[in-house]
Amino acid sequence: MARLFALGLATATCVAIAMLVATACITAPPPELPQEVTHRPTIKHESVQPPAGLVAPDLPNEFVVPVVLEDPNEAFQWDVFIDYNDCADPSSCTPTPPLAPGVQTVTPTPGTLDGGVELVSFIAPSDLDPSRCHTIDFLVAHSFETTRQGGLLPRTWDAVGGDIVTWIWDPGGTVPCSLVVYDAGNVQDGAFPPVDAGAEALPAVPESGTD
Amino acid sequence: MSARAGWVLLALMGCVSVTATRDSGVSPPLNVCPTHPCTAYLQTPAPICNGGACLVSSLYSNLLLVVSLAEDSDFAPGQSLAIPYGSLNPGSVTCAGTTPCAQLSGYAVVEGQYTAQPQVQQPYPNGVGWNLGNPGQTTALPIHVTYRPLWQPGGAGTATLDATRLGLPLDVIPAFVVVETSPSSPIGPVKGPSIGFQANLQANMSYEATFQPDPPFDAAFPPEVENVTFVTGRQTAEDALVPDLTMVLSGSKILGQQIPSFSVYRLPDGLAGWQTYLRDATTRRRVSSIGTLGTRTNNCASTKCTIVLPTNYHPADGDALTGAEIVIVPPASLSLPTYVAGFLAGEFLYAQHYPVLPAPFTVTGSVAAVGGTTPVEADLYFEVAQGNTMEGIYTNEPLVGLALNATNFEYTAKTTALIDPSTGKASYSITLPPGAYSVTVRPLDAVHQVTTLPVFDVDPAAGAMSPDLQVDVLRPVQGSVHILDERPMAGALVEAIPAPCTSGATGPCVPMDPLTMPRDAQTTTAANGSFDLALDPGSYLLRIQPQDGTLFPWVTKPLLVGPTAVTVPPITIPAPVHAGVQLYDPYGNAVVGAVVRVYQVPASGPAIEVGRALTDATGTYDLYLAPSSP
Repeated sequence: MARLFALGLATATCVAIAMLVATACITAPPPELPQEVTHRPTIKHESVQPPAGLVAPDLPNEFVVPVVLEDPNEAFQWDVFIDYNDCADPSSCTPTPPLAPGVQTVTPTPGTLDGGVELVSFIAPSDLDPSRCHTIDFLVAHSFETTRQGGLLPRTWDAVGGDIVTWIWDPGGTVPCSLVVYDAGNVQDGAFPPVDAGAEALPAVPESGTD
Repeated sequence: MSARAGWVLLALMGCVSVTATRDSGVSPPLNVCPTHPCTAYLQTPAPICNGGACLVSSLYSNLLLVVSLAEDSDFAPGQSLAIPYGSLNPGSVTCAGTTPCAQLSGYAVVEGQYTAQPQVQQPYPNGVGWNLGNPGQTTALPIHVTYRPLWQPGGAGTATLDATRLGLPLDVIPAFVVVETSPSSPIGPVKGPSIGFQANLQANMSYEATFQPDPPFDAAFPPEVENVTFVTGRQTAEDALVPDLTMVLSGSKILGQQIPSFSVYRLPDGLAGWQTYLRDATTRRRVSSIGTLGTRTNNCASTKCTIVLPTNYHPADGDALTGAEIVIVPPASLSLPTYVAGFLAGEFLYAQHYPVLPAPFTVTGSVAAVGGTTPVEADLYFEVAQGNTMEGIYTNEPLVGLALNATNFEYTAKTTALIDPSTGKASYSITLPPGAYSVTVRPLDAVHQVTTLPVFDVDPAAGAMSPDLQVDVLRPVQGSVHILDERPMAGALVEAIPAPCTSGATGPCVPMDPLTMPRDAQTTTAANGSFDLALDPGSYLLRIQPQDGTLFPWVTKPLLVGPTAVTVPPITIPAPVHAGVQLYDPYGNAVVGAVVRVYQVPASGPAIEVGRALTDATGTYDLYLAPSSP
């Protein structure tokens, strides 16, 4: 029995060595073979719709993002965050999850993608609080990173890389983006209350106090 | 097999296996012929094999192209142009290839100032009562100007609507603020710099222009709102404030015309710190200056306040109050509704009285799943209900000449129901003025549905009748998509897009309240073309988007999700029309990196996007559209 066990062990070892040798062979190709390089997907920033930066005063029905694939057959992932909070203190909050339906994977049909550009679109929620400024992040990645436990890190792309574009939506509420990142004065369109009308706004005429 | 060949094979196998791990396993069908013969399509007219794809011809009406130029474009960077498909033409360009080409029209460069003549600055009733510090001189008001794109979905001579209300991606365009240096330019207030504006606009497009005076001048000088259209080229759009006047009557006797003024009061607490203005009854945008009520000596309680609200929005019949409403806005801290009043029985009352209202009531309740006690965390939006009268609540009011119902009050409030660890319930608490509300529950999870409860009464004595709310789960929606040659459409994106507006058979597009809209959802068709969605009840546009490069068109269908599960009738994808075009700018350069979106714009209802593409380095885009319905 002991001999049989030794024989089995030897056989298994041989197989394992053989596999290792085979693997080693594959990972050492002849120098004249081309090296396969995986490229990160990138965003064609100059063509995103609406243009990145301030979006006001109406929230667009749909955001359109051209994703450039150097290898047009390569799959990629994307997701969207609204008002992302990384939650530096995990004891008091949780990081903002991606907008539903979460991380999306796009696998282009091999050989068909025109110009290597995939047009990705998403719809922002209609019920964003109109009283405050909002940031909208679109991230694209070759693949988003996973934790050792198998969880997804939806804002961390893998070693190949990715790209991000950000919009800022100012609905003209009481917490305008001008208080945060941007002077929105030039997009005011008569909506009430005006972004910059404060307590210093004067009465139309001196009040007589009588009819 | 040589050793080298073996290496190559191994390497290729490795390469394939790496790709295979990321493949979804669903291979979409392709529109390629003769591999898939065009005769297999059950379609009239029959498609023909053209350039390797099965294609048909079709005539369209009301097809609109929205070209959004790249931010690094030499021409109109970052701007979006709306072009009826039928008006595309080569212009001065000679088309280079077989793809049709079109040249974009030149821009209108609009420059101007907004001025106030000395007589407009005179005290009321002859003027708005604000001396700009340049005696006897016309003064340029510091302003910001915006242009809101308009569209006539019914064609020339029909109603003009905001393009965004139709769902078209045409944003409001802000004009640049410029400092005029010409000696002939009117000076600014108190001999300050002369402020003007410049805007780059699409020629022959209708816009709603708003000239908004900057603070503090906006307290006396109203915004001017007018519809404008410009031709190609540089032009001036000087404008001077001429306040709209309204007829003043005493009984049936006409006393004359003057700038609108009102007598306002509220007993017993007054209106100190409140604001009032006139707004367009249709667009709900402000069209007058903002009056801040109350003075050091009068809080508009027992002694009424007179407020002057100059306006300049060019009403159709010339009367300042036609199509307008007066709005009296309480400070947010008071939890009181906004008062709105307009014409009633042909009369716009001079005296406006904010009635005494019962004290706000704190309502507490919970949100749970239907048929159980499972707590559901959710956002809750309360809105004074249309059509529900408050007369039963607000009794014993002095005669104000207006019925005290929801037509005259606006109030919205928001809270969130969160799980209370001590009770295990998803609880909320909110302070509301007593009245009749509708409440919309928007669950924070993706399991339960957005639910609008039309009746939520808050009694001034007893509070809410039914503060504990229940929500059901999302409605299952299933269907299948096939190509007209009977192949299943695998790997297509299926999107349920909430309808942006409602409309009758012939009525205009009425925007939905974003807070009551259902949520969008998407999925991908399986290998057999089937799909499953879980949706909120409501109206949607179901959009089937075959993968880019398959050469199949988008197909859209209206979808109504009611209280039960929905099985969508089978959806078919036809052989498409090739609608590719090569675009040039007015200078003859290729339009590179532009997002091109094609919309079907019906005479009523929202615009429907039917295709989308990006122009390449030659300005060319390829687009495949479903043929128009007969």
